[in-house]
Amino acid sequence: MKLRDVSSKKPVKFLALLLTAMFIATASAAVYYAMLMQSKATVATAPVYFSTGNDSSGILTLGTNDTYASLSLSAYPNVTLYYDQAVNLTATAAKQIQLRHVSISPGDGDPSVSNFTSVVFTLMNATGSVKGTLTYTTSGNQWTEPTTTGYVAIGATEEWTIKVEIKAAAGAKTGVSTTIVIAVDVK
Amino acid sequence: MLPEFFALLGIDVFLTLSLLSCLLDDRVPKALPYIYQIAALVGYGHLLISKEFFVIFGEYMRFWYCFIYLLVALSNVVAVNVYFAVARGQWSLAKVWSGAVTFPTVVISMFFVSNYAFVQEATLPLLTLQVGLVVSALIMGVSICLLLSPEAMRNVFRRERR
Amino acid sequence: MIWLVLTVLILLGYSLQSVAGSVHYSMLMPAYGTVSSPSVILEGGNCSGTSTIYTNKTSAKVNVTAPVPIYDFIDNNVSNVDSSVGKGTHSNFTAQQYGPDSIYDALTETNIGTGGNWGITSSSFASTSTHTTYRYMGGTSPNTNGMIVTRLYIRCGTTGTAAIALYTGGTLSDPTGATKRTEAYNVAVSAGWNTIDVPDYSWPANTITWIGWCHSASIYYSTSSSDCGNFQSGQGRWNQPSPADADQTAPMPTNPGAGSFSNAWYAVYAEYTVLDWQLDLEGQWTGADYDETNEELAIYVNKWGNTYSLDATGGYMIIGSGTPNWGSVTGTISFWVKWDTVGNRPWGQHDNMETRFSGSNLVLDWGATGSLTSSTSFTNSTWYFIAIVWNENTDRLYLYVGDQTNRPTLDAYNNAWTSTVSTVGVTQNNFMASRGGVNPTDGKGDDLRYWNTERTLAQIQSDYKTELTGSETNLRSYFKLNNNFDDVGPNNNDGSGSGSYSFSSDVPFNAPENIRVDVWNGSAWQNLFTDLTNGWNNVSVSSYLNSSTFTIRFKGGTETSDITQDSWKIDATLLQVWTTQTYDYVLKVVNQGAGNWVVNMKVYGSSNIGRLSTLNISLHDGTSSNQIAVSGGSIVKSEGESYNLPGGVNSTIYISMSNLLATTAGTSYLYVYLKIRVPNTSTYSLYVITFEIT
Repeated sequence: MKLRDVSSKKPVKFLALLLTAMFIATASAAVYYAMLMQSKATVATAPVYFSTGNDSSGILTLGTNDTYASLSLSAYPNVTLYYDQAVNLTATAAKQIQLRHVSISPGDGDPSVSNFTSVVFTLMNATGSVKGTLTYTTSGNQWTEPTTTGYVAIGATEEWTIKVEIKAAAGAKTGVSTTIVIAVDVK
Repeated sequence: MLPEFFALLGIDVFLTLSLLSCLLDDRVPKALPYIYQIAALVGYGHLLISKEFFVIFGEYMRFWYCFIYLLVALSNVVAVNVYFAVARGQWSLAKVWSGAVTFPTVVISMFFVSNYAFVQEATLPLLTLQVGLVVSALIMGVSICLLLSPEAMRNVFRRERR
Repeated sequence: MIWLVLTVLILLGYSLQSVAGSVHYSMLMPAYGTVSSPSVILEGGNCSGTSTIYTNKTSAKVNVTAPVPIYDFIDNNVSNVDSSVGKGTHSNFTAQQYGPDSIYDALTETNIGTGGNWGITSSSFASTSTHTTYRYMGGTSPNTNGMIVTRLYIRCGTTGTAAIALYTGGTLSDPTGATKRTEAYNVAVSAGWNTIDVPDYSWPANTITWIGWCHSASIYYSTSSSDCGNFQSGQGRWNQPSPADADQTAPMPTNPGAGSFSNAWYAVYAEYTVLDWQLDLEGQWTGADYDETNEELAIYVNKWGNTYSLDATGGYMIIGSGTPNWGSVTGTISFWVKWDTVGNRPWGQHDNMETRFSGSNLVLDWGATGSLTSSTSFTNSTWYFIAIVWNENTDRLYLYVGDQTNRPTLDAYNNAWTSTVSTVGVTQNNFMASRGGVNPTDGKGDDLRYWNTERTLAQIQSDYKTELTGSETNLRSYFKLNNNFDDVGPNNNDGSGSGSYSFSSDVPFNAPENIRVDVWNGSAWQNLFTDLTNGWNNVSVSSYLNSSTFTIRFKGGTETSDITQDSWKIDATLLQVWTTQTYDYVLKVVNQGAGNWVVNMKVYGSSNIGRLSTLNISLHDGTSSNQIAVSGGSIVKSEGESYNLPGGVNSTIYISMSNLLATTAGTSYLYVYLKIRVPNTSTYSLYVITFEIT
């Protein structure tokens, strides 16, 4: 009996189809379940979310569910401006977090880039230890963007802060601005 | 309940169709089981996409996306049913099919849709739901009538003997 | 078909893997940074040329100059503003004009005591008498403290031999029982006044005193009581008829014997010196700067003080390598000793040149066994001063003994000491034992001295209680035993210890008397220091330094009847004058906006600030806030308190520097942050200010 004859037999066909059907059903159910868990988390409070820090007044705008934060910072020419507690991160469960560069504008080549010297985001825990740093520096009209800080563990009841240091170049033009988007990844 | 549940439901319907058409492979085109398997895979792929774009797609879009997939699956059930009844002339099979496959899947689907609509507070117009229920009821009624009608039965058997 | 199944299986397996895993999410945080003008800026100060403001007025540099004190050493020691004679000596005045270092000027008291003669000094007597008995003249000693009889005088008519002695005690009507205190015998005399040297005797005031004599020559006399001189007029001379033929070559009797008075007054007298050690030495500056704000007199005194003694507990000291020979023709060996157990041998270099005990009396084997025995019976736990003085030319061997409360006096003597120590040689020169560790002394010893001359009692008494420099005339070896065995005399025979010993802080004497420093105010002396202490002595003299001439004097603390000669080592004497500098203000901090700020200053770095004596940097606007302080070459305050900079049109606070003074020329840097902070937050900027101080 040839293989083709065997495979064309109905029971065999049925078995193969049954197997694939089971796999597809299981995989789909797993994906659905993952999404269900995920959406359950987002429906409730996020385990790590943004909160106001000492220096947040007037510069921080929090989004819905505190999972989005927008900072409006000033920079002075030839001097570094420090926001020791620009925005805080509050954890309600033990998680791992990292800071990650997302985007920066205006981008490389734009002449307004040279008005800035550096922007540094420092992730610090409750005792003031530095847990990670994202440093943006300029060289002429080029930005040097950092990658990620790498995941660090934050405990269940801890509140950490993000410190921002921003420096504009000597003789910088007032009114020039830059937008840096960073992400706080939580897992 | 997530909107993706309907996609899952659609996948299950396609898989069921695939298996059933395999069992009835002498009454349907030989490629049909595989086509339905591929359709189920498409649904699975769709679920994966939905998972990745969870944040980007809004809930409204995700619901309709999945619901249309479910409707396609249900349509295929009905189509097979009609195929049996009309193209092949196998009334008894069609009746059985409508009672065992079409009617339950449609009713259960409508039940889940109504439940979802109730929870989400009417993204779906209530009219559609009522229409769906009426259609189901009609189909059920016709089926029962046919089933219980001696003449119709005689006609069916007569054709089969031929 | 199978291919399809397999492919699907693989794909599904991969998907399942990736699905079942990390549930995570990302929170986005856009940050918008906008350049704006700082509302707080720096502006220059009003002290010309001191500040530089950099681009955007957010950093600055300040340049100031620090004054340095003027160090003006004393100019001369020859002034005499009070028209009085100076008292005391400098060993090396120029040493005060630089330093401090190891070279100093030793100020030493001189004796201003005036001595005198007591007895009959007249040279007008015409009659002479030759007698063979002992005769005595008596009276009461002068009402003067600190007298020391050094010589006796007799006026003879012919050549011959005489014996003469001085006694105290008895009564004015009967000299029997008086005690011989000093004498000379077998003295060759000639016609006229004869000066006879006798061992110094510490003669108390207001004491019944007799001079006794016998002679083979003749002696001048008067029969008139008005010629009695200092002797009592009521009685003439006392005649002791027995022995009828007194031997002028033998010692005078220990006590006068029975006799009677006759109306005759003989030309004999005693010469005495009076000890009154004093110091009064002026020093002057000419061309001094008297216009500074701060003016100080600074005197550096070299450390004095006898700090240790040698505590022998079975051990002893070897002088040099043991071979130094102290057997000279004339010499003086002195030391302090305190016995834990009286006995054994305190010093010795040879069987015939050593000290030992017989009971509790000290015995000298000086050239021969038993040359001299002390009259003092020594006791435990008392510091004694012992001096052995010998002169082979005059056959004299003396023993002087004193203690912490009593000056050394003649304890025993031998005026017919015919032995010699210059011929005995050295077995081993030891202190606190003898000739190679024989009979180590159980006790403490201190300040061992060897002179190659016969010292007088006055000389011994002048420095037995102070440390010497080691360069005194005729001093050959000198061991202070202050925690070492160094010989600071010219022989430089540093010793070593043997056996069990240590150095103890129990010492027989310590610091000298007080030394005062006075300043001349134009008409009188005013006291600045009642007593100088070791190290620097500083005092403000702003109220006295009113012209370019400035005069001080060093004066002893005890200036009447001071029987102890003291010495002090002055290493440097100078005026230090300075005026601190103030720069008000060097920078302005201007708030151009309406918002309030708080500011403070913080040091983040420095360079070469060791040369700065004082500096204060402060913020002020009405009230002043001291932010940064430097004192004595180091930063004592590195960060200041917050100071309000309110909003409003050009609200300003000022940065000023005050109290600036450096010790030397040079350039110092202070690197400072001006922290400008939003009140009640930790949002701030750091403006850099560099202070360059030349």
